[in-house]
Amino acid sequence: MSLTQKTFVPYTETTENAREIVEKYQQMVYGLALSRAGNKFDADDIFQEVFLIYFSKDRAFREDEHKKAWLIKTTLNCCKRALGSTWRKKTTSFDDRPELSYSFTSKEENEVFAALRELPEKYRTVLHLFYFEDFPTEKIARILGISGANVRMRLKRGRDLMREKLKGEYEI
Amino acid sequence: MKNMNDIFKSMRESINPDDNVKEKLYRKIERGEIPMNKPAPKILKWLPLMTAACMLIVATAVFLPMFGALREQLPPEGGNIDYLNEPNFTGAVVSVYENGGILIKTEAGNPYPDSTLITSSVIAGDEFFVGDIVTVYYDGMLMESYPVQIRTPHAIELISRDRRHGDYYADEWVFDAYETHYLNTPDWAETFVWTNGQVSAVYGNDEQFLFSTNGIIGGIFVADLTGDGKIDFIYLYFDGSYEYIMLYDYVNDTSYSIMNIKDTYRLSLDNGKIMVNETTVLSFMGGRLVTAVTEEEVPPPNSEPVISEPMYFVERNENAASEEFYPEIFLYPEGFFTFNVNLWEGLSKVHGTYERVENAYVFTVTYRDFAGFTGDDVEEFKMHLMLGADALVYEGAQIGMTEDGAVFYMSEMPSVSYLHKFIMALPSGDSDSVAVVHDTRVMERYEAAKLAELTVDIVNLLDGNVMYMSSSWLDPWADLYGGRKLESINQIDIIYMYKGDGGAVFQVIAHCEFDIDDGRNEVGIEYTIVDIGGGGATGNLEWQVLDIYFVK
Repeated sequence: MSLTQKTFVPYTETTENAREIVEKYQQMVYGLALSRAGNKFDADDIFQEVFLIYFSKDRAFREDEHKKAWLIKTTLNCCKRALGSTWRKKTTSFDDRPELSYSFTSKEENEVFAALRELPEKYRTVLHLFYFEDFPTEKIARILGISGANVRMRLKRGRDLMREKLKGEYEI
Repeated sequence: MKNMNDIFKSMRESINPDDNVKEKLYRKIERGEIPMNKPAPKILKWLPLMTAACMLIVATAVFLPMFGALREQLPPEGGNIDYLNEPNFTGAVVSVYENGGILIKTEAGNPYPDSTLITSSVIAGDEFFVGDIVTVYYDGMLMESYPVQIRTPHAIELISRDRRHGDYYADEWVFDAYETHYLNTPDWAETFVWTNGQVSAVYGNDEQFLFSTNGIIGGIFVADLTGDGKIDFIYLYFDGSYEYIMLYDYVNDTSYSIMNIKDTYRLSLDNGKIMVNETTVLSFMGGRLVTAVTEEEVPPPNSEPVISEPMYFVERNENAASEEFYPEIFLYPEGFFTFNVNLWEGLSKVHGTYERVENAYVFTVTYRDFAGFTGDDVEEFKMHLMLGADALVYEGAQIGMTEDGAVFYMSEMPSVSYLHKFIMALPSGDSDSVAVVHDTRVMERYEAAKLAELTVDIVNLLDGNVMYMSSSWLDPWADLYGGRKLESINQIDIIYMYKGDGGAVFQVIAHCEFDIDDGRNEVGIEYTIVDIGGGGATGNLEWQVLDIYFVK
């Protein structure tokens, strides 16, 4: 086998190792859902839906990164479905209900999360993938289907907006 | 100054779903529950909607008259089901209304013999789709109208959804085709990989090449547009000059160009239909891409291009002084063509017939109105189909400025004033004593009935009758054959008359095949009128008969 030849070992998941899979990716899926939804109520639903879709068929992935990309894309799609409906736009948001908002341990974390929640969706997603998942911009571009330059532009504008919302108290 | 990166890191470590949420998930996985597009109904979620329903009673009052007057709630006549104790039913959504409400077709007799119910007000127009199977939980109250109605459902649970058309999986995908992209969908197990300008399907260790692209791809959708149960790709393709909407049919391994467009458009999915939108305002509603700009449904592709009306192709030849001098070719459904060629010193015409041979059209020249220019000896040439017949590539000897390899793009038919109906007297088929006798009604495009009349008239004329008025004289025609009854007209090849902006140029090819009681007869004439002098109904024409035949 030459060094450049790739071997694809398909991952096949069964319900037996469902817990293992969920534990491994829960932070990524739930974090993204929470970032997009802004409240615990919807994030819980989206989190469950993503993994239910995941386990609904035998899926084959080329590699672990491929699986992560699938989970992120599916999470984003589920967020769009869950958060973009007219029903939702016509009803009162649950975000303000204290028992449904997500609470972090420190004041700074809650301040940053509140500022993040207020950002337009496109900046929020890019910031989340960059800072929470440590993804390079080119990878974010592939996941979101936009150009790398576009990702970097969104990062810059997102950071600027964060600074503005946090009144310059934070360095980013 | 606090460092936001550090805060992000600490946030990342602490973000996790509650254990009870995970336990719920594990139970669902173990039970093998089918994932749905939205979670099972929660009364909590519907409470604000029920309140909203009361506030929207005015809107309901507007909505209800569409389906009959609201009367007091009564069990339906003849209904013997105690639905007050059966406060839910399951059925298929058959209509979705923009102003709220869905029409549901239930199993016969449950809960209403007429089996059709409508809910009102509380449902947004994009929550459900036709074909969805839903269970409606309600308080047992039916409003008698046609169809009967439920005003305040407790909840509507989506049981299953026909995913034939799938969802969109990209909203801003305008990217370099030479980057690598993975396309994963919840609906199909395959993973689709887009790399180095080609798309492959990966399933386990198998990788199957699907199709390649050499341009910029945008707005890709996956859906089962062909209805064969397998994925299709619908995408915008930009070749540097024009955008095309392409469809790749996975099962048949075939690409189609559904539509070519000249500006920046996007694809979207709306109520299960692929739409093309001129994009200025885009937003997401109900998980779908919608736009405020007018939209048009993309028609399903034809496996074989069928010419049902004239097609018009233009060669955007840079040597032409301006667009109006571009070489152009018209293909008519019945197999005739007109090729407006550019000879540098002016425009001229080539006429003839064409036929489809595999992936090309073969053109046979029957007439040209120029001599002494490049191409005046061309008898035959070819046009190869490309991009699903949205463009033709010329193969043949040079005609004017059109060279071998020239690309003719399908374009919108130019606005021309045609067709005039000319009746020509051809006494005894003698081409030397032909007289033009009448110019009659203007036809709207291709009116078969009028053209049939004209052909019949020509049959008369060919037989020596000089008519001074055009007509649909079938009787005189029958008289021509000794009063014998016309049994049927088997075939009439349509006559074409084209009048351009710069004067009139006509080509007429008429062929009539008909049965009289003694058997099959045929008559035909092919002639071209190249100019009009004078005016009025009996203007002088310079014309040339190419062929006249009469077979009995």
